[in-house]
This record gives sequence, structure tokens and C-alpha cells, in this order.
Amino acid sequence: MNNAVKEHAAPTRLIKNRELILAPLNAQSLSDWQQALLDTGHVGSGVSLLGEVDLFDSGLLEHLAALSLIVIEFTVFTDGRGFSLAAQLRQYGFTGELRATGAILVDQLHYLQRCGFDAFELGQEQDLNVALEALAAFSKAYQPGW
Amino acid sequence: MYIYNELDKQLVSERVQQFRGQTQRFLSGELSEEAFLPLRLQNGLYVQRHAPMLRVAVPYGMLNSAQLRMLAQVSRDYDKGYCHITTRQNIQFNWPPLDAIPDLLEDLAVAEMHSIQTSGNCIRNVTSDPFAGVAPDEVVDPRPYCELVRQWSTLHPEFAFLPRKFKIAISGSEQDRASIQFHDIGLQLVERDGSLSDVKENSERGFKVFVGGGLGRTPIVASELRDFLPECDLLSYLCAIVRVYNQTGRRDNKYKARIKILVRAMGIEAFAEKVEAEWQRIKGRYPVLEADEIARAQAFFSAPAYEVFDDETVAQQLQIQTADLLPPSQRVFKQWLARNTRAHKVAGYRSVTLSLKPTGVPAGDLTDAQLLAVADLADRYSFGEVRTTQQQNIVLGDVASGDLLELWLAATQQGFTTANIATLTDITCCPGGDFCALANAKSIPVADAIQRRFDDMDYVYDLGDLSLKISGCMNACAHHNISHIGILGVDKKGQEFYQVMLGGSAGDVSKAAVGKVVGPAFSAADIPAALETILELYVAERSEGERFVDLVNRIGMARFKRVLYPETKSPETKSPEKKSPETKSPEKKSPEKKNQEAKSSDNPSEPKLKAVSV
Repeated sequence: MNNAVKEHAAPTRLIKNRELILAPLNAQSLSDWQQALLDTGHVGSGVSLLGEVDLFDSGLLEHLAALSLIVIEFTVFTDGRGFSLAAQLRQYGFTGELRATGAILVDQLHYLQRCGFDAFELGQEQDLNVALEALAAFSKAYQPGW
Repeated sequence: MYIYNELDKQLVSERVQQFRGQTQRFLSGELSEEAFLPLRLQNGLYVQRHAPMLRVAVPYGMLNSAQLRMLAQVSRDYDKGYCHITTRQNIQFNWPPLDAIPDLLEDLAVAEMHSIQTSGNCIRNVTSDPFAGVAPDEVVDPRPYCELVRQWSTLHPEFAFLPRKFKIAISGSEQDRASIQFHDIGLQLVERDGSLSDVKENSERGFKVFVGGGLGRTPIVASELRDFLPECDLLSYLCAIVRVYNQTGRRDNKYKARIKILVRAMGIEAFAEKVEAEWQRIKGRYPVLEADEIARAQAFFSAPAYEVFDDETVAQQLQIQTADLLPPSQRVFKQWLARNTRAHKVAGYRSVTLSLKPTGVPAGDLTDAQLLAVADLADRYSFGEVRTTQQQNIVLGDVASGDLLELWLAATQQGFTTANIATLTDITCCPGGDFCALANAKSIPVADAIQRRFDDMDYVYDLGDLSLKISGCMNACAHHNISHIGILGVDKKGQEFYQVMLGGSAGDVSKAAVGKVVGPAFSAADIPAALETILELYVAERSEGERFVDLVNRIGMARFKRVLYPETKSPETKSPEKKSPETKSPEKKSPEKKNQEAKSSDNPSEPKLKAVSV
């Protein structure tokens, strides 16, 4: 379970439900979260993990209801594993904030949203207006996202 | 034929607008080359040797006459007046300028066409049997299911950044004309008796599911993943397979990223278990394909207004019509009837294949005028619809036998009646080094040289059913490794050479096989002579009615090696055995050294073919 992600600094530009969030929640790395759970039995409120993490090995499944934030970090934008992980989390009933961070392109936001993400941490170089437009690229879909 | 509803129209239109914005941002420098790459690929746009190449989706090969006319217009307005039919039933334009692509896509959308997911690491256009719905041996028409899978996979948010491309093919006949066992997922429609009763009405429809087949540098016959999947569960099961692949397929090496490598590494049992576990988890929440939804899809592919004919009367009429022709025309027409038309499930009808393989034209190329002519032929003789084939030809599915002569006369004027379907000269050929940036060698000139060498059609007919396919690199776009005779272009120190493979086969689910390299590669100039040698051995050794591929399986590769490389100890001097007087002695023998151990492509765990040390 060595899936540690660097401690999450407060994002400066977070879009959630198509609005800019100024004071976002923080999340613990998965390994810290796992350790704290082991040491104190405390479930905490936010966890951050890499898109390639196997949900069934993470220990998260039993605690989805207690968590209010899960951050999925993409290491490269061409790695689509985080899309499936998000869809799985939503399928298992996670209803809190599901945030995408790391290497994501504005042109991926619409698909990310359809996989269950509702918050997106963008880099300084990414244009917020383009991002909002990209989120609304399609008004309908052929299939369920998750 | 499927007709767009409001949802289809809106999605395609929004996709064009999305891509227009992305293209503008790329051209203005706002979007990097790296970020634009997957976006343009998932809109079918490649950057090739000379210009961008745009691949237009032809869902499961079906086109109507309005679409053909739009393709003609697009080829005139944005290209050099021609297009190319690919081995996955799609259409390619070789010369459209990048900044005009959004306009081009907008024009295509008018005729209900798009280029969504014709490239990139996503679920590609679904392919199928070009004789779907008309073949006499069909169990279930696969097209409604193809359409349902097309919709499910199009703009699927979870599967746009897979480890690698992902191809699905669906067939509904015992005879597999869609090469389903060489796809990432192959679906064979089957019917079985209901589990509670043996009453026929209770028969259940579903799929035999194959997974992990593929061509390319590691050709593998797919494994059976599931004996029977009820049709209502199709989409949730597909979702489970693709999700397992998305999460566990390799991403560290693009040559090992296809699902075939994953399935082989895990073993089919372990892979099946993982899919089953995921499927059980999602099944309950995933919408099932309801009977009325399937019925709605089927309604688009209901039988056209066939006339009622009596087979015997029709045959007599055709005989009388033929008798009126002058003897030379009579002979050619009869050959065309025998090779380019095939049985239809409805009495008095035939399916006609328009050959796009006359000598002197690159396989699968069509001019704008020819596209218009095909549209007219379709309107006049085949209910306004055609199908593209894996072999890069065009099929008119529903032609009344009484119209065959008239059709033949009209199609001959367009150069569509070369009577060579499924023969040696019906060569499947990728664009190769003339166009493609990936190619190691040219393929079009090799096909041309073969067609010119084998111009005696009586000899070609005598050879019987034969498939010959030429790929310009090991990506195998021409499917050379599942062809009876396959030719693969390789690059050796900057020079083009060609490996010959024998014994590949798709088409019969129980006998699907990957061809084996016969020995060291030949130069382009030596290929026709090598083929002659191979075919002479076939003619000499075949028993009554034995097909080429069956003979290869019976007598084995060693016999062919012996005639092709008689002096096995000095590969430098070996050359195709020359028997026939018309075989020109090639100036320069070009086989490679160090290749005698070769043959490692027999072992699919070898990622590279080693018959030529490239």
C-alpha cells in the first residue's frame, strides 16, 4: 500500500459545480490516512490518492460514507485510470466532493465530470473561461457515466 | 440503415463545435502539440508524410447513397478528388488541410457522418460482416447490436484514455467474415434454447465473447472469455471488460499495451475472473438492454421492400439475357457472376461486390466521380445502400438477379467489374510507405507488380479462393498475418524488403490462424517470382478442390521453404526456384543473412518478427 501522494497544499484555483472555490477542503495522503486509521481509528474527512490506486486494496471502501472529500491525482494526462477509479467510487456510493488534480487538461473536464468528478484543480496557466466552456461541451450523452 | 435522431444530431454537432474550438486554440498556439495530439486523434486526424489524413467513421461498413454523395463532395472540396477505403471499413482522406477540418466535419454531419474515435487510445469504430442481413448463413443480423455498441462507446467518458486503441467486431454467422477473433473484443451472436424449456420461442439470444485477439507485431488469436452472454447484459459486460483493461493494462510500453498482452500475461482464466468480479459489482446498477430497445435498433435494419421472385424463373431469365451477349462478353459476364456475386437469403436476389482492385489503381481508392457512380448504382439496384469491406471493396447487398446484367454493364463503365473477388489479385493493401508515416516499406507498388505479373485470369481462377494481403509495416493494417499469403514490408538498413507468410486464416471460427514466416525476406523485385514459385508448388501438389491454405496446413512450411530457398546453406545466393518460362530472373538477389534460425514469429511472446534482422 505504498501509494502515498504528496501532502496536498491548498489549491489556489478550484472549480466546483462550475464555481471558483476560494477556501477548499484539505485532504490527507492515502498512506497518512491509512496510518491514522490504524493508529487512532479516526476516519478523517478527506483523502488524496493517485489514479492508479486499486480501490479494493485501499481500505477506503468501508469508509466512503464518512468521507467528505476524495482527491484523485493524475500523474500524466494520458493515463485514464483515474477516470475508472472515479466511476467506481461513485458506483460504491461516495457522495462527497470528488476532486481531480494533477495532470489534467481543460479538454478532459467534461469526461471527468461525467465520470463523477465535481471539482477540478487547475494550474495557473489554464484559462478558467475555456475550462467552464469545456465542462459544458456536450449537453447530452449516450451512456451512463458511471 | 440507422437514421440519426435528435440526440445523435446534437452530439455530432457539439463534437464538431468542440473540435473547432480545439483546432483554433492549437493554431493560435494556446494548446500545445502534446495536448492537441489525443484530441485530434480522437477526431480521426493524423499527421502523415505529406499532409494530414482524416479517417471518417463508416459504422460497421454501412453507407447510404446520400453519404456517398457527401463523401464525393468532400473529396472534391477538401481533398484531391479521391478517397480510400480502409481495412476497418472506414474512409480516409489523404490531403485535407488542418484548418479546414472543422468545416469538413460540419459538412459530413449533414449526411450523418463523423470521424469520432476513428483513431486514438479509445474504443474505435465497430466493424462487422459486410453481408450482414443478407447472407444465407446468418443466425442473427449483427447490425442492430453494432449500432447499440456504437452508441454506447461513442463519447464514453471513462474510456477515452485507455492504455491503447480498442477494437470491437460483431458477427452473426457461423462463417466469420468480420475476423472477430483478431479483435480486442469479438462478439459472435448465437441463439440457444432457453434454460427452462426447449420450446423454440424460448430460445435465448446472446453472444459468445472472445477477448485478446489482435494483429500487429504480436498477432494472437482471441481466447473465448464467455460461452454465452445474454443480449440484455451486453453493455454492462463490455463495460466490465474495458474497465479491467483500463485499470490493469500496461502503460509503460506502447507495444505491450493492447489487451491481448494483458490477457496472455494474466492467463484467460485469471482475466475472466477479474472481469466477472467487476461485472458482478456493476451489473445491478447498470441499465440492461431492454427488449424494446433492441427491437427499436432492429427496426432500422428491417428487410427492404423485396419483390417476390421464383429462383428458377429468375435463373432462366438470366440465362436468356446472357445468351444474347456476344461470346467474349458472355465469358467475362459469367466470370463476374461467379466471382463477384454471391448468394442472398431472399430468392431472386444476389449480393454484388464492386471490385476496387483493377490493375493500376491502389487498392480501395475511389475518385469523386466513382463515389457518385456507386451512389447511383446503389439507388438504382440496391435500395440506396452499400457496405464497405475489410478487403477494401464495396458491396451492393440486395440486387435483383434480373438487374445483374444491366448493373454489370453500368458498373463496367466505372471500372468496378474486375472479376477477381477473393482471388489472388483481390489484394488487400495498406497505403504503405507512399503515404503512411509509420510504414517501413512501400506496399502499393508491390501489389501493382503482383497484379501485373498474374494477369492471366484463367490461371488466377484456377488457383481458386486465395487471400493475399500486403502491409508496409508490422502494424499489419492490411491484416497480412491472417491472410493465406501475407507480405510484410520491413526495413533493413534503409532498404525495403518483404517477408512472406503462409497459412494465415480468419473466417472460420474454429480454424483462425496466424500465418508463419516462410523464410528470409525478398526484395520488391523478387516478390512476384517468389509468389510464382509458391503457387507452382500448390498447383502441383493440391488434391481435387483443395484450397491453397488447406494445402499449406497439410504439407507444411518446409516444402515451401525448400522450393523458395533451395540452397539453404548459403542464404546469400538463394532465390526463388525458377521453373516457369515467363519468370524473369531477378537481377539482384536480396535475401538476408543470419536469418536461417528465423521463424521466431511463430512464438507470439516475441514482440518482434525476427525472420529479418531489422
